[in-house]
Amino acid sequence: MIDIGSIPNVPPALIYLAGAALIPLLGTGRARKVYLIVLAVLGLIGVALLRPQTGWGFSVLPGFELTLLHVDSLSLIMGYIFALIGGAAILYSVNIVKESGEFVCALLYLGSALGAVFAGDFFTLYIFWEIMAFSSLGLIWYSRTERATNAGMRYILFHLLGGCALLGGILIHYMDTGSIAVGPVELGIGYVLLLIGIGVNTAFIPLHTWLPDSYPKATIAGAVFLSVYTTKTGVYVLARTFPGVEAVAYMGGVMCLYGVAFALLQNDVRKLLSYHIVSQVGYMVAGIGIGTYIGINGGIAHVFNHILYKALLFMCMGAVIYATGKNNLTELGGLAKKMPITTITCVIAALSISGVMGFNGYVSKSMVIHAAELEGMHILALALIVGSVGTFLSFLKLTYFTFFRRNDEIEAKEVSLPMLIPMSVTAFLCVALGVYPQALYSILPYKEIAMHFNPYALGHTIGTLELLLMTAVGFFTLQFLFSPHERVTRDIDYLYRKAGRGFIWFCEQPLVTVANFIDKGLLKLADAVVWFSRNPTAASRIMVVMIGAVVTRPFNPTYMRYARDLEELKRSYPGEVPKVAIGTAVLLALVLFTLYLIIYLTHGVLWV
Amino acid sequence: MGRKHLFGILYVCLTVSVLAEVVNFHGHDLWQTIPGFSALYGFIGCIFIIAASKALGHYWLQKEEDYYD
Repeated sequence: MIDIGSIPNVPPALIYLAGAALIPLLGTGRARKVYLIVLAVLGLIGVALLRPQTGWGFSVLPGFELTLLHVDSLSLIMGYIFALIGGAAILYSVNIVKESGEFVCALLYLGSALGAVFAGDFFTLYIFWEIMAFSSLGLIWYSRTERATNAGMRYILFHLLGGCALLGGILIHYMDTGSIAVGPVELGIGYVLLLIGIGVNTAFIPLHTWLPDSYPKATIAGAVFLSVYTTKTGVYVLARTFPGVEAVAYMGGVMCLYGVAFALLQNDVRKLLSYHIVSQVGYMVAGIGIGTYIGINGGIAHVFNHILYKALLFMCMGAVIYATGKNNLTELGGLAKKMPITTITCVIAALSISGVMGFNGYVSKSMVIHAAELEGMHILALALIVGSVGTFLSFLKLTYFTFFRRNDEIEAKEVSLPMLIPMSVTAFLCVALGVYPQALYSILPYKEIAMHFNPYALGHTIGTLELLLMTAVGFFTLQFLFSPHERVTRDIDYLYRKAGRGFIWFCEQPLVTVANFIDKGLLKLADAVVWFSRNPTAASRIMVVMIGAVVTRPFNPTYMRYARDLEELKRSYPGEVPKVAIGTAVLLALVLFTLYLIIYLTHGVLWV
Repeated sequence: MGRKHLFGILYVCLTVSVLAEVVNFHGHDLWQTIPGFSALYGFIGCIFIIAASKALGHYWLQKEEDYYD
């Protein structure tokens, strides 16, 4: 028997990062599938074996230690859910992903997200943060469409800017405090830069446009991975560095409403889900911003629950797109009978995200709203409740138009088992954690506080029930308003695109004109030097004659003859180049050296 | 199940839940102290969200499918 205590703590990131390196050698057959599943299990075991309050680091310079593994209750819960859903997503993708490169990207992404979560210092965090940005880009680009390529460009631009802000913030923080441990930051430019850097990944409004822009264009499996890691790593780092900042809490409220309002306008199913990531991350950000024990518990619990149902939603919609080849609500419908398991799991996920009693979303959402109430932030609490009304509306719309609306033209078959198993397991977990939330409480950062929270208190349950019933009444009464349209909805990205075009115009027009002007001037100068050096004596004579012609022109009756001479000189240029005997040249050089020597001896240097 | 049944069930559940609140209201949060507050708030919220997003989308934000290409 192996003594578990004797196994040293291995940073789980390394399992995936090293595992990714072997994938290209395995071809595309059965070996790759088996290897991927073994790797997913190994990663899960690696995270499960981590003991709290341990670490693993090494010194790079004296007094400068990088901590690759910093395990406490906060990083551990993130590690569990990341590895768990990573396994589910890998299983989901074994049959539908063809190219090895996509698996490499997915594993690098998963590994670096775990690396970022377990990083004990800001530099390690930054490095994993950047690996995440580039590996996730691969998941977008592998769909190999022009739209995806362009969206990927915008995606990486955003993340590079965010990464620069993060690095700047880290450097300033280090200069100020001399510490690189991940922790709260003091006010200043570094504070703002860090908040912007983290805000890009967490999809703060108005830095969120990369998310609904790129996720719907990613590959089917890629979108499942994308929906999990980037934003949640952002929330986690936010919980480490900015807990209890009131502005962050209200930003959460804004994200919640903004995401919902835009989701209602979408036609592309995965774009609708993407706007709901913004909205749901709003609850987490609000919980972190409230900053009390119950607030942070709620935010992190919502991270855990959200990852489950959102990954499930992306898996379901991925299955729908895989089976039908259609991704717009206007073209879907009537799938309930053709894809029964997908339908059931998707309904479970929809009920979870809408915060219906008995499903996991209800528990953590209630926790965040309760935390806001306890702190007296009533406006925030009411905003978050309206957000859940909008969420329920949106998911009534999504499930109705995808699965239950009549559509006789659609053709589809239920997807294969490797896709259905992770969907069913995730759906089961959504229900299990809704019915028995204590299982989740026991791994929360402040579990003693969490154990006292009862989401099923009678008053709260009835209140939520009323809210949801009224929303359903609203939806079915105003159903004609919800029918999807084949239109795109402009977001703030419109301004960014305008600004981007403006920048390119500026480069192509004014900047290039100035550059051409300078370029031509310099070329002319160079030409003149070349012309002069062909025959300096003759050239000097021409110049003297030219100056003479110009100066004497007003009083010289023989000007015309002068001008003719000049023409003649120019035509015969460069003519016979006078040769200087070697002796003369040496004499000249000697004279110059002597002059130099005299100046050097009298002055000490050449120029004074 | 027709639409009539659907609405019937929804309204019955609503009435029962509001009645349950009248009988038993001892919440400590703002909205738990008034019976039926959640239903009212849900109604207002529903109208507000639909109106806001539809108005924004229809008059300002929505463009043809190939607007960005």
